[in-house]
Amino acid sequence: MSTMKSGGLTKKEGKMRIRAFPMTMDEKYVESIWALLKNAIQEIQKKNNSGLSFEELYRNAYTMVLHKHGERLYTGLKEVVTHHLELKVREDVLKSLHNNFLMTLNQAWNDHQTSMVMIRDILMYMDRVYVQQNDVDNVYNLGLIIFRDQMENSGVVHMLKHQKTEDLACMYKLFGRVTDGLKTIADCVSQYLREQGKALVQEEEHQPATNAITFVQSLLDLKDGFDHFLKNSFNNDKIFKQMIASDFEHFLNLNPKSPEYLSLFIDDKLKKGVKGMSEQDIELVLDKSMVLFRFLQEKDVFERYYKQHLAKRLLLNKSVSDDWEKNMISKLKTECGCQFTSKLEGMFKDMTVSNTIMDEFKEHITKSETNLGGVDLFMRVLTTGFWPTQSATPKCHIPAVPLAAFESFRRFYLAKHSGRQLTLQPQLGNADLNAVFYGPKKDDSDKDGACSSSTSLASSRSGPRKHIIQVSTYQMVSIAITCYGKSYTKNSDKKIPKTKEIESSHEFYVNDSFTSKLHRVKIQTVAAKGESEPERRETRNKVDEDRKHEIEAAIVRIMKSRKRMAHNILVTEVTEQLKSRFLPSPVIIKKRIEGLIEREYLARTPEDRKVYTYVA
Amino acid sequence: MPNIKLQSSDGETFEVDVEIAKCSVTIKTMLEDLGMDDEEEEVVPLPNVNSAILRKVIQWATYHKDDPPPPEDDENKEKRTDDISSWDADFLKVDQGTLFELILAANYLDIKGLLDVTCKTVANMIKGKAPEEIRKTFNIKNDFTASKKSRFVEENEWCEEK
Repeated sequence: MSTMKSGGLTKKEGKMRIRAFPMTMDEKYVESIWALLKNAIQEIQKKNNSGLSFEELYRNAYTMVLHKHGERLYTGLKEVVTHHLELKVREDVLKSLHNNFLMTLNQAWNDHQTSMVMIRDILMYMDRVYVQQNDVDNVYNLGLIIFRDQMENSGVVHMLKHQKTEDLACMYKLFGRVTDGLKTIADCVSQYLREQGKALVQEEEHQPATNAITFVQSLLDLKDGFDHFLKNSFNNDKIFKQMIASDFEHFLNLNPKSPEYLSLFIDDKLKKGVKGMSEQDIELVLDKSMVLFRFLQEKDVFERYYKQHLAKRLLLNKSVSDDWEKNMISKLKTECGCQFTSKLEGMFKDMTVSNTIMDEFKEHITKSETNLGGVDLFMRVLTTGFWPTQSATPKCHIPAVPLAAFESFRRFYLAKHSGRQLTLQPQLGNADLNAVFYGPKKDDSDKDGACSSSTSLASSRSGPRKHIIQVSTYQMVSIAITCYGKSYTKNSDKKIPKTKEIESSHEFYVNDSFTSKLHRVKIQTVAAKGESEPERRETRNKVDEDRKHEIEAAIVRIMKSRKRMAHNILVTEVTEQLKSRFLPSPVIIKKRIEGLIEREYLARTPEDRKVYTYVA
Repeated sequence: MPNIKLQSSDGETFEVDVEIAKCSVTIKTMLEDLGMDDEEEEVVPLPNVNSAILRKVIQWATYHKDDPPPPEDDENKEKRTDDISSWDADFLKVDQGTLFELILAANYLDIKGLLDVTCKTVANMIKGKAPEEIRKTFNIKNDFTASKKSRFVEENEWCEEK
């Protein structure tokens, strides 16, 4: 390429100085340009564009951007458009809310589009240069976004709030004819739904005492409401359907306690909530719960809680109907596969098998005339793998008589199934105490550990019961808290000092003034409506542990079949496989891969560190 | 074919075929917005462009009127400066002042082809020259103090790698 010097002119004349490009513009000048443009935009919005000169406006916008005032122009544009829509359009639209609303809105929308096109044209230089360089929305899109934002305070939200299904249907049909019209409505509905959902979900977080049942019920009601709109106003439009689903998924997973609460809700329905409901109603409620279940990202957390709650229901005989339990499990099976439900089914089997064993045991006792010391024993044998594990078996001293009864059962069982081990789990059982007080005989239904008190209560009158506390610390803590939890009319023991915690120096008195209408009084550990924070953390830890194993298993499975794979692809495959249970983060997957490399399940290829091979 | 009248900053009017004029996206938009396709009497004022430059622009556009539309700028593709056609090279054998005015006009009128070729020409004038040479070529005053310069060189070392 030839050097282009000063062309054919002589050096003296031809050496033109490149005019220093005017980098700074007089502030007043910029002001005046902007004023001109602003006025023009407003005239366009008022449909008064015939008197405007395109070239002049284009040139002015060009000059502004060229002199680095693009941002000023962009911001100014946003303000003018928003202001116009807020003032003029919203006013018109709201005025017509009960009358011609849709026609007015439609007109406003069309006018807006037309003016945005014209505005875009005069500001085309800014669109081309400033917008690209600063990665902001171009003029036309900006106009759409602002219009949609304004709609929030106008019709659509109003209609949603007041259930104006027919009006929404009309709007849907009308906007269907306009490009991007439906999308605008969908965005507006989505925003409203997300707000509602978020409010529900986060309200719970700020109020620790919220009931899980109401939480889930209100979510179900919200879903019902929007499904109603979907069917009756939006014609089951797929876009709206998908949008509602993704919104629910979004805010349901905002609250980490959602899986637990959903499980509690179902637990409630399967316990007592089912009474008085027709079969169809029950089926409906369970199906709706399944819909929410599908939205959960942390399905494995749900599984853990469901197991816990099911175990309690089964062991405490709280389940209203075995059929509905099995029904629910089969729904979960359809959704998640057998792996999810195999343990739950195992729990059911254990219950049936235990019943059979008890029948056989009773026969055995009668035949062999064993004396159980007046204890009416009922044992349930649980297979360890199926039932939720307790953190630590608390120490509990079983008094002599029931212990002997248990031993005879143990001998009987081990004779039938040699090679097995039986461990007594006192906290899962309960014991009925027969206590003789002054006055009519009363039954105190207590957890195991407290049955030691039966003998002592019956034998003497008032006076401190110090020895109760020495015997079984764990259970007494729960009982005392229960005593405090219930009202004093139900307390059978008075406590000194009157604090919630129990320590070994505390004393119990028999409350002589205790009366109860019931012959049987249940003293239980305070039924947790939800877990306490430390328990929740523990559950969360267990879940994380399990997830580590599941990720490693998935990695090994995939590598075993493919033999060789690049890191990114492996991460994607693992996520694919596990996403029906939870969403693993790529960072954690990476850590597990490194762990497996250390343990020599995988190796890195020498030529590329990012490719792994399976080590047989 | 219909014509359109373009008026330069110094009052001169040029009558141009509408199709040729439309190679300028700015003029094209103007016409479409104002529905002027059929109007033959309207004059489009271009106060940003003087007659000498406008004449050159029209000359270029007329020659290139059958060119296929330029492709979208592929960000990843490396831009070349050695693919200027000989006609364009000849066309651009002008003094620097004119060259830069052509760039401004092409920018304003949004004529991608002309903008590209004029910028490439200037790029070629810069390529391979040391800073002092560049200053000489374009008659640029050196307003860099020594410290600014060394910092600038540091910050922009990456350009040198290629």
